[in-house]
Amino acid sequence: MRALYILHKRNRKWNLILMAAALLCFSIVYFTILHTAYKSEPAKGGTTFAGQNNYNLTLIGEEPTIEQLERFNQALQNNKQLTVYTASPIPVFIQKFSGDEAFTPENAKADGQYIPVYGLQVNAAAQKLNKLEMDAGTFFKQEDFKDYDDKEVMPVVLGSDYYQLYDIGDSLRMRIYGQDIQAKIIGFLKSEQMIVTTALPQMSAGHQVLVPSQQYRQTPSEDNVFAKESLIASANTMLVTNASKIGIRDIMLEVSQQSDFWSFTIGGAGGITVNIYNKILKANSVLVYGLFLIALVGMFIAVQRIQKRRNEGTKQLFRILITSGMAEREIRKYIRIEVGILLGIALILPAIPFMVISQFAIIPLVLYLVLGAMIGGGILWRVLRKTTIEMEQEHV
Amino acid sequence: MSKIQLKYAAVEPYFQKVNLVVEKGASLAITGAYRNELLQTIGCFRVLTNGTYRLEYHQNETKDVGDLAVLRQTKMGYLPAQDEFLKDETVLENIQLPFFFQTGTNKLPGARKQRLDQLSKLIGMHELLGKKAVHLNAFQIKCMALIRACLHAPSILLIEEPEKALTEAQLEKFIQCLRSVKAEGVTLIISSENPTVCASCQAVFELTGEQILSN
Repeated sequence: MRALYILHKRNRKWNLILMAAALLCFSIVYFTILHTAYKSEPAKGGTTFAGQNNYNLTLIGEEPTIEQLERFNQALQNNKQLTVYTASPIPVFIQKFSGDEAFTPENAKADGQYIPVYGLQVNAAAQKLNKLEMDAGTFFKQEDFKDYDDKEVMPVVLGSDYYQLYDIGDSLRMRIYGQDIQAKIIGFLKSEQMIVTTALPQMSAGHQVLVPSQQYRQTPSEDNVFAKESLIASANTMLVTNASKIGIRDIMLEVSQQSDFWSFTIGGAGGITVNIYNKILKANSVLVYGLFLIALVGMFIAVQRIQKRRNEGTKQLFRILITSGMAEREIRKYIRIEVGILLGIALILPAIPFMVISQFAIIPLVLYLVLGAMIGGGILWRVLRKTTIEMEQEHV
Repeated sequence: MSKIQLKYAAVEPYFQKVNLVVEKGASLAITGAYRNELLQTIGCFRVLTNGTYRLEYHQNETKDVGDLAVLRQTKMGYLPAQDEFLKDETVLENIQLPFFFQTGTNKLPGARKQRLDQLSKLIGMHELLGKKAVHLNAFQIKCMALIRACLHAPSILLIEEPEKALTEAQLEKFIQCLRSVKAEGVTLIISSENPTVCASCQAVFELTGEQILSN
């Protein structure tokens, strides 16, 4: 170790330059591999639900118009690559409700005779993916997912804890987003039924009032608060899909282009690392491969120049060692170790951030290590070759 | 009795037909053209193109200087004409560094440390061990190189032109140091044209006439 330290001290500056050049070269190699390998190994997805990837869609920015919301919802529903899963908490009030505080959300206040209760707006996917089971009655049918006003009766499904308060077929007077709705109970969920929502990964459905998500046949008017809030609740939804973190971004790009709506984020497919990975994958291939070639050629030229300087720094040391009886091949062994350590560090360092960016994709890492080791071997061979020549010139 | 023996030794393009015997414990000065090249051949830096070279029990039959280097490491100490040292290291570090590279260890063992102490006191460099080599004068640098060459207790000490970079007074002092080292029974071979140096040796060998190959 001491001998290596003495050797390194002779060329500290040039060793750091060599390591920096190798670090840059290896970074470009890994970048190129990630860019190329994506086609065979797409990035992993986010959290999973029902065996698929699960992403949260959240509206951001200024409140959209009803027309925008409707177009956006339509584009989402029509996209075959994803399942729109709606189970969004909404404010529901029941007139003359006689249940206890367990049914009422915290801090919710009564609106005259209307008492606040836990409410969820759900779509057909919610029943399928949660495998909702009924204790009595039925779940919503496809035709139940439509628009409702105060003239039509909305079917509702209640959690099992409501069983002691109501029966199948009972009518309820409800208020949702300020709109008075006539509702009819069509079913009770099984006791201990859990449901996944945008707010919680698992929520007990016992105290929930489930209302069907609204599908509008015609675009409602802008001042229809109920319609707007209902559409917003539908848009702040979950997307269940096989697409990876990169893939879902491509799908939502398509949805945005179709609906001309861009004000949302995709939870689980965002963040700096996914953004960077996306940029790597979408980079111009000609530029990437060109950069790769430049990196390789540049590295070998750099080694020539740097090694010339390194030789000057070690000239005297090698003369002392040869005079003292060390063979050239033994001295070369130390150079091999010294440069090997520098190149090893330069090889490992870029692997860490790139692994994080690629969500720990294994195949690109293995390819990088193999290719990196080969390139490193080539650099080491060149360094040793140049060192040998210089030593012969200095030989007594 | 172990000795150095050259028989019809030739190293092209420098010299040929050199017959030389150096007994153990003797001191010899080599003069004439290509004296340094002859010394380097004895020091196993050059391979013979003809003839034989015997050193104690070893007959030089190899053509690989890397293999010959082992002899230098175990049996010889060599001081080249151009003193080599690392300016930014201390005297102690300069002396020790070949040992660290040859053995791969981080510290001098006890026996070697004792030897270093003994030599540095003998040659008068003990107080300077902690000093950076850049601050030494030419004589002190020569002495540092001498200690380095003698650290492994070689049986043969080879010195190229010790008069280089030294004043007459410094040269006298250095010859005194060589005498102290020789008193341990070391065989001393010096290449030099300096009369003082040649006079200090028991014998002188001159490369002349047909021994010198034309350029």
